[in-house]
Amino acid sequence: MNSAGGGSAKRLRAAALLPGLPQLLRGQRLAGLSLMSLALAMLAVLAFGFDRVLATFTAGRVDHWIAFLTLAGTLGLAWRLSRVWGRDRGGEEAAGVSGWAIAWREFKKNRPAVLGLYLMVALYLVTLLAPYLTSYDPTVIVEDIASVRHLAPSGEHLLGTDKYGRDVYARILYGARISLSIGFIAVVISITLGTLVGAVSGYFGGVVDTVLMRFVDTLISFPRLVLLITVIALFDPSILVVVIVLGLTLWPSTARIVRSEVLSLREREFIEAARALGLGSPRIILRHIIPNVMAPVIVAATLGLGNIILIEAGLSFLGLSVQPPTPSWGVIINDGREFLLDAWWVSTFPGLAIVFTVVAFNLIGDGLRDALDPRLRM
Amino acid sequence: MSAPLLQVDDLRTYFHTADGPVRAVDGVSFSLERGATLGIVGESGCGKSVTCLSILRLIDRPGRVEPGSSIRLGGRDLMELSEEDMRDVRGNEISMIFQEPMTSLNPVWTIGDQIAEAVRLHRGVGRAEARRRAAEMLGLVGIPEPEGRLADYPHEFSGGMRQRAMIAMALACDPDVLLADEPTTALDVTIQAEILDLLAGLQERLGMAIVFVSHDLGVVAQIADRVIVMYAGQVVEQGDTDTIFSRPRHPYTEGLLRSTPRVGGRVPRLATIAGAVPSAKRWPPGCRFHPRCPHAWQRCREESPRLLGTDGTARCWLEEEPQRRTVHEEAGP
Repeated sequence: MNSAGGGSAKRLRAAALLPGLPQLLRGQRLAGLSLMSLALAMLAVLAFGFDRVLATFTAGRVDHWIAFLTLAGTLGLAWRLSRVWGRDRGGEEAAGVSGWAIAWREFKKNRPAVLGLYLMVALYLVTLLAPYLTSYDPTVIVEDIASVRHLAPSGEHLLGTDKYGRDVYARILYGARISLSIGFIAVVISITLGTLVGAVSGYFGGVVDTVLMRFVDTLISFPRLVLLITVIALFDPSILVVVIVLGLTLWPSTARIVRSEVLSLREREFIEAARALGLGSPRIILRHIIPNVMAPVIVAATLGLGNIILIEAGLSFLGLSVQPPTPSWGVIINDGREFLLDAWWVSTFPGLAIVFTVVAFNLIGDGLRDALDPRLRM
Repeated sequence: MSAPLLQVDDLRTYFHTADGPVRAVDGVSFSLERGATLGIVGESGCGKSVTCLSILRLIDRPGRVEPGSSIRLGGRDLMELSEEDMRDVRGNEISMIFQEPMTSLNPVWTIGDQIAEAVRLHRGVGRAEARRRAAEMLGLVGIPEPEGRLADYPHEFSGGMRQRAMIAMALACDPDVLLADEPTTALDVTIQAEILDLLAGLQERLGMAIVFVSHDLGVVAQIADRVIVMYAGQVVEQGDTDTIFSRPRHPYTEGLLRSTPRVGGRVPRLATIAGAVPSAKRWPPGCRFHPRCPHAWQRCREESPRLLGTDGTARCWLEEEPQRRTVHEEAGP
């Protein structure tokens, strides 16, 4: 192994004060840079928003506390990981290699996918840390609108202000919360439903399969946007309605993917072996079928997340999703639509946010698809 | 003598397809004593595997074990059991191991998880106890350092080790009967011998009865006490292993034996049985082997023989008219 003399061990321990440094010293660039930039970013938030962080203890607002926990947690995690990874890993590598470890090794080789992963982590951190990243309130409208509306980007308003004088940067930060949570919850709903329906359909086959799949065909053959608009029109538009409707309309494609996987899976001998051991169908589906289709499901989930964020932005743009003044990316773009020539920044920056987010998820999805390729297994 | 442990009577498993029933297993009967080993041999498609799956009632639609078939384990008729009771039999009283050790373990769970799963299911024991049992079983099937290997995934095991793990899984609940469906076919010869030794050793220690299915006569000769030879969904010959191998009575058995390579015997060219196994949708009339039989005469084409001979050993009219046996060698029908 490497020359772990007393001196270098001490140096490593000292270096561990700054997360990532021990990894960099050992030549583990990816791990080192990741940990260090994570830690430095957190320290920067602390430095530039120190009064906002302090305000946590007086404001008594839940999202301030969430931001505080995120900040502390991320710093702690970076430091801890740096310590753990800094230890000699000879023994660890000799131990069992699970399919996931192999997949991670493949994923790491894919630069764009790793970039996507960074973007995603940054995005989620931003949503959680929003109160520390800006002092402006995304929804409050000041009385003297005329003097603050449509201000161009400047030191004071990083990305300018909109027609009500609200800070666009703040609105994008808080809008990320809405867009990402809608995307996340809708994906969880649709993936769960799709996986179960697909697995049951593929495993049992016959009449069950025919009935379920014809239902899926019917759902898929509706123009998606028309279906969404119709269903949402039946209720008052709200986050809850949008999340549920998106979740309940997007599962059929997952069900199809899962079903086709299960069709080949159930012919594998270990399913027969599980039956020969006396396992019942529910147990076989949950323990033996579903874990084996997780790879395509995870890929579908990541790609679906980008897709759902796009659809949600479209719906907000049409005024069918989140209602003003709550910011969501689609809503902000819609706000700036009339003034595109005079105040280009209002629509442009949330548009870029959507582009980056969707690209990030698609990069991750592609990376996962390659990394989880079953041909790499066994 | 006491009643046999496993008694299969007139087992018929048909697959009801759109163009008529496929009679994959058509009237198979045999019995198995406690602790004995029965070999089932025959070509691909003769119904060996379907017989095993039928015993466990694992035949999926459109397949069906026809009414009138009886499978008795101890005193119970398995055909009468509810699906739930049947699940208690599977893996617990009758276990099965399969041909393909590469695919018969679930790639996403560790070996230990998979062995423990069966134990927890049938024995209702806790996690720790099931794990202890899993380690014990792995040790029993000859995997070194069993405790450490519990956390391994199937892809970290070699083919032979996986088959050992499969055997550990199948035997974890002390079944009375082990159905071994070509368990050595996919392994190379040295590993084959190890697995056969292992099975024989385990049988001695644990006392389970084995139904050993193979198309490899040499392998069956090593392990089985009694042999049944299957052709076209039927038993065509049955008897003690020694008798069958030294004095085969059915022309099909003869053909099989002649087409088996032998070490040392310098045969210029290995004999084959002319023709191929007929389609299970339309078995030939009369004796099902007659289109391929070198001795066949008119009667074989018209009348279907029962198991004939002194103790019902061969399904062949030659048992009644031995003078018909032509001085054969190689000739087709």
